[in-house]
Parts: sequence; C-alpha cells; structure tokens
Amino acid sequence: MSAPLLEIKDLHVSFHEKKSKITAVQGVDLTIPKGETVAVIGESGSGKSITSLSILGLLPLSASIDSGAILFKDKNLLKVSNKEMQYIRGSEISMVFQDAQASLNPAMKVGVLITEGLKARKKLTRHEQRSEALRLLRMVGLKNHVYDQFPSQLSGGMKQRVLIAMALSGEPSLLIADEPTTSLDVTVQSQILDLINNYKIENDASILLITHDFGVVAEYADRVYVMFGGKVVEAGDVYTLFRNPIHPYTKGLISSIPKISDTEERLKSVSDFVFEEVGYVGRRFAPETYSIENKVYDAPSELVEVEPDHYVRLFVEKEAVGR
Amino acid sequence: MIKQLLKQPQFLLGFFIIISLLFVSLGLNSIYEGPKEVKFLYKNDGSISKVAPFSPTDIPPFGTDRDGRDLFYMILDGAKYTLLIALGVAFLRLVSAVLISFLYKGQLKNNTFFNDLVQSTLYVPATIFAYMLMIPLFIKSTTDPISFGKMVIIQCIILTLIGIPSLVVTFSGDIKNIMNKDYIISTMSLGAKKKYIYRKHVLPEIKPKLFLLFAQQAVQILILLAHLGVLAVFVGGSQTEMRGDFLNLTAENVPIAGEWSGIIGHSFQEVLTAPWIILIPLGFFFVSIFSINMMISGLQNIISKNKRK
Repeated sequence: MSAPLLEIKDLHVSFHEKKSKITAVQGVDLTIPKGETVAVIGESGSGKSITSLSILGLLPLSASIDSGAILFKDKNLLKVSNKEMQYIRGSEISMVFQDAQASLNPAMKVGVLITEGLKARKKLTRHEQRSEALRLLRMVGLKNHVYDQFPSQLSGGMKQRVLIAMALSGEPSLLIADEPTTSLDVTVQSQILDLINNYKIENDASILLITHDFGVVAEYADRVYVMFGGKVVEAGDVYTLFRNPIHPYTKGLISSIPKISDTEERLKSVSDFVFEEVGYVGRRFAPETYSIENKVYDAPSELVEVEPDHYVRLFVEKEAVGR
Repeated sequence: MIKQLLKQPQFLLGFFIIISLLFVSLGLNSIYEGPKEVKFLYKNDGSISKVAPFSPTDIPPFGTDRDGRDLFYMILDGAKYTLLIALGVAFLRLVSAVLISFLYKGQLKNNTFFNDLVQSTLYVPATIFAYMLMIPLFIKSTTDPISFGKMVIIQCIILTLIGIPSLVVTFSGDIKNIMNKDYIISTMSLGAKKKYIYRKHVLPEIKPKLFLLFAQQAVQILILLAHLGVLAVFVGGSQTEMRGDFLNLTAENVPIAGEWSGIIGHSFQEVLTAPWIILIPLGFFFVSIFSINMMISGLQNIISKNKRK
C-alpha cells in the first residue's frame, strides 16, 4: 500500500433535531493511499455519503462532527480555517455527486457552471476560461456546443460528464465519486467509471468511490470498506474481500449480485441470506447479528485483523450477544 | 425577465399609470405654478354665490378643499411624495430583509422565538405600530422643531422597520431551501465562496419573488399611508395654523407635504359636507394600488409561465 493521501481516524458524526441526537457515523477509520481507488460500499443510510461530506466540510447544518480527525496531506481538515478549506475544495479534493440532474443549476449554461470553479481558483481572462472549459468538455467526451447549452438540454450521461468536468477543473489529487453512476444505464455507467479511472491513472490521483454496487467495486477499486449502520464492518483489499468475505453483511452484499446462471425467479437481497450465529473465532459479528431477536447494536465492538490487512467488526465480548 | 415583462400588457398598463403620475408630479412645478386659491364664487352682480370648498361641478375636474386650493393640482403635486415614499420604503424593506436573511444564512427561519415574535406582530395592524412610533415625533416637534427632511427620513425608517420582520421570515425560508439544494452543495464542493453563491445562485432564484414582494409592499405602504392620514399622522409632519375669525379662532395642524394621506387627514371632518375632498385622494390611492396590482399579476403570469418551462 502506497503512502496515505487521506486518513480518517475515529470519525463520529451525528445529526441534531431539537433535543434528540442521531448518530450517523460511529468511529469510522479509513485510509486512501495515493494513486489508488478506495471504495466505500453499503446500503442507504449506512453513513457513506456523510463520511464523504465530512471530508469536504459540507455536512448539513443539522449535522456535526463529534470527534475524530481527517488528515489530508498531514493536515487535519477539521481544524483548518474556512478560507483554507475553500481552497482545498475543488483544487485538492473534488466531488462528483450522485444526482447530476439536481447537482447542476438548471438556470445556468454548462459553460458558466464549468467556469465558476475555474474563477474561484485562477485569475483567467474570459477567453482563457472558455478555452479551459472547452478543453475539459472534450476531456470528458463532450462536444464544444455543449458549452452553450442548459442542463435540461442534456441526457443523464452528458450531465454526469459535465459534473465530472466541473470536478476535474481544479485537477484535484482526491476525487470523491458519490454513487456517480446510480441513475445511468449500464453502458453509460462503464464510460463514466472509465473516465474517472483514466483521470486517476493519468494524474496519479486517488479516488474515493462510494457505491452500493459490488460489481463496480470489483472492477475499479483497489481497497474496500463495507459500511453498515454508520460503522465499517469489514475492510480489506478488493481481492481478499472477494476471495474470503467474512462478515455476514459483506457476504450478503456479494451474494446479491445477480448471476446469469441463477434460475430463481426472484433476485436475492441482503436479508435473504442466513447469517451465522456462530460468529468468527468465538466472537459474534457486530454491530448486529441479524439472527437473534435482541439487538445488541450499541454493545462495544472493534475491527479485528483476521488476516493481514483484512479487518472484520466483532463484538468485544462474547457475552455481548443475546443480552 | 425584463423582456418578458415588456410583453405583458397588464404589467405595462400598471407601470405606465404609475410612471405617468410620477413624471407629471415631478415636472408639474417647473411648468405650472398652479391655480390661485379660490375662496369665493361671485354672481354676475358681484355678490358672493358660493364659499369654498367647491364641488367638482363648480370647479372642474376635482373641485377644491375648504381653503379653496385646487384638488386636481394638489393630487398631481402630492403624487410624487406618496408614490416615492411607497416605492422607496418598499425598496428599503426588501433590501434590509434580504441582507438580514443572508447575514443569518436563512437560519432565522429555524429560530422559534423570532418566528413567534413575528407571528404575534402579524395580528396587530401595522397602522397602530406606525401611529404609536410616529406620535412621539410630533409631540417632540412641537417643543423642538424637526426639519422637514429629517422628519421624512425618520418616518420612512419607521415605515421600513415595521415591515422587515415578516419579510425576513419569508426570505430566510427561501434562502434556507435554496441553500439546501444539491447544486449549491455541488458548487461549494468546487471551492465557491458564500458571496459568489448568494450572488450567482441564490439572488437570481429569488429575483422574481423580489419583484413581486416589492409591488406587494408598495401596496401595503399606500394603504398604511391612507390609514395614517385618517389618524392625522402626516408624512413630513405638520405645522399649526390659526383658522376661523376673531370670534372663533382655532389652532389646526396642516400637513407640510402635499402628500395624499395629508389631504385626507386634513379634511377628514368634511367627509359628510364635502365628501369629494376625501374621495378623490382615496380614488388616487385606489388607482395606484390597482396599477401596482396589475403589475403584480403581470409578474405572476411570467413566474408561473417560467415555472411551467
């Protein structure tokens, strides 16, 4: 594993609604090495997007980071000034969002949308801005005339490409792709992911790929973090995780990928799988075992290294289950 | 949007009436000194036939007040004060409310105390607030005279302040909704500054509403001015003049500016004997409000058309 570009250490994020507090991310540890693609996979509400928004300091106003550290190039992003964070956004770390339709201001032309990132970082003449925007459009496979079009005139795939062009305008060393292909058809999906992958290879950049699709993970990721209920339940390099998934949730996710040989009428989901009550090396899987009625979600758990660079979340004490 | 407005007949008609009134009023004194006061009408034999106030049939088109001043001239002359105050205060209210909303990043919408405070003020007529805040000014001016300009400025500030809280609640809600949109977060992720986001994303989105609220506020202020006139609170203040003859000499407050509500307030006791003195400025209030309402419906047409797109 090469040197880490970004390290998240024991991150806790919660949402506050009047007097109630909902914890969204609990003690997440995550490392993104330079030049690698790290995938965070999990179902909706598992804390993937909140983790990525925490990196950019773009959490909703009702959310707060309770503890932890986010180290980017040895600088704790949670402690930098607003001005510094503004510089880091776009020029060091960029994000491609899931919903391209909603992520582009419908009242602005594509050219304006792309150049607004450039304006924030560089002092360019109007002509230079246009040339740079056209170069970015061509880089993501779009033609020059798109510059003068509104987002509503573009297809879903084209919108996503525009979003990628915007994100790449600052040549970031870390690109966060938050489910960038969810709303796209399969052929466009691979084009978009290839585009992101090419950028990584050409610029020795790192990618944080947030997804719920293990197929995408298998193809593009170097390292995988599986999240459930705001916690990382399993982590390891992509080969190890596919070869030897240990946590029942990871197994469920992998097994729910449809196979062409399957003859069953109904596709399988995570909850269709029987989870092991026996646990691993005498300890139960955390945060939930699924197989028992009493939920032990909040019992102390930890990531245990089950083999070199392969971690699984297990309850700290054997007695924790069944209380 | 301006191009679209120029294609809206309702907006154009309303705009034309308001602008015409303003232009005529502003240019009136430079081209015409105004008719002389007519206190008596005489018969052919030189004897007095009628005493002011004269009805519109006696002295067309609008008659005179009880001092014999021509109402037509007074209305045209007063239009500039009334309309400029209404439009100016509406503008100040909007600018202040938008700035406060931006300053608090739309979070005042979440402030329960502020919301409750604003809600409670909505049930108290604005006229009463304005009256209560302006009366001390008049009392002070009797012992320590306040200049006309200073009086107008203070009154405009009071009229502005009364309308700001409810507008802040409206804008805070709008700004909060816009700031939560995905494309704002996307723009922020590119390193855009807050100022840039407000200028390029938020302001253009609330612009149609700003036009609409500007017109609505102008209507509200016109109504408020008419009410204040009835309560004898004149914009620009008043001066005391002695009226009547030596047997029955009474002090009377006369408005300094020829503003329409002043005409109403000054002659309100004549509502039964010479109703045209009240009805004619009221009619002009009606025409102005009607014109602004036409502008509003023109604006609304464009907004709903743009939404459908």
